[in-house]
Amino acid sequence: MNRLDVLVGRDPIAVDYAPGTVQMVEQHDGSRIALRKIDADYDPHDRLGAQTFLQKHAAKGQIVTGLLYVDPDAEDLHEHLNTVETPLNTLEADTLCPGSAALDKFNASLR
Amino acid sequence: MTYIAKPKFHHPGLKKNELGYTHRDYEGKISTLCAGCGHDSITASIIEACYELSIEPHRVAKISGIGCSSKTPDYFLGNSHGFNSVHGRMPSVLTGANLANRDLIYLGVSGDGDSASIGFGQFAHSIRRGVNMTYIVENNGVYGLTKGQFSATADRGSKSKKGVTNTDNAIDLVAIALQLGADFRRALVLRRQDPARAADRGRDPPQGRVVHRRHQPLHRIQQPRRLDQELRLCPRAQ
Repeated sequence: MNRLDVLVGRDPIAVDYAPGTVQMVEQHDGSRIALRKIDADYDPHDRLGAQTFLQKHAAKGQIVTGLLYVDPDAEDLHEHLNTVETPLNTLEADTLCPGSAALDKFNASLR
Repeated sequence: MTYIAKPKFHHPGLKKNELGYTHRDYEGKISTLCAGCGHDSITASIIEACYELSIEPHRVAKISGIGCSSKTPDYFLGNSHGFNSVHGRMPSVLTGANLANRDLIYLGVSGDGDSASIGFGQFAHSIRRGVNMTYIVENNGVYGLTKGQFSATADRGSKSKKGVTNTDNAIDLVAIALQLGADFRRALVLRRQDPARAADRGRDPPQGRVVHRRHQPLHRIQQPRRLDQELRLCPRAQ
């Protein structure tokens, strides 16, 4: 048999602070956290810079917020494997398994 | 509360998105998690994000591991594909599904135990391979199902409900993902309902995404605590 749970209602905690600043946020139990928003001129394309930024502020006990890193030229697994655009589960059997002649040709290309 | 059927009726005036769906069309079953659990706020945020982004539910595949966090896909996107896999093995199952059908939007749902302990290797390799997915880590730093032990992401110096201090260093999943080549990463601290807007902003990057959502546990860790934090790492936006 389930029992009833009672949860005291609390108001949501919301913060709004400027880029490059640290915001201390007090939570419902009285504990506090430090939020650090990235600077307005932060470069999100610098991977090493993002790692440094993250670790530097983590050492200060600050949680960084914002867009930290973007690689616009990134590839995904399908590009790495050079798979076809058509989903594999929609390909016909003869396409997925073109036969021994195709296999022989492929093996020959590896020699 | 699984015996309570969720009513399907809704107010006829509910706002619809570009597809003509209301947010009710993105909901799942009634949550069976503890009242007030932060996981439910993440569920609500996912529903809101998918509604606002006008994502077709049938184009989403939600795949999870084991744990409280991995139960949550049952509570959102009830009309989507779903698979509750093995503990810590969500990334592998999702990778296989992605290879078979690259047209779906993959949502991987995991927790701090699922991704930072038993599935730590899976987490790492899915990122270094650049699997096209949204990886959500519902991270509260504690194993709630097994009575409140510290997880691998618990802050050093944290105190449990019974006063035990965590002396181990914490795994920072976001820092590790960045090191492993995650090519889109976002760290946000947001109000409860704001992750939907964050997801909206996350559409632009050309590669997929991994979301690390950190929230505070329910009265288990005393100090320090963290507000809703959403950290987004990615390989590929849909």
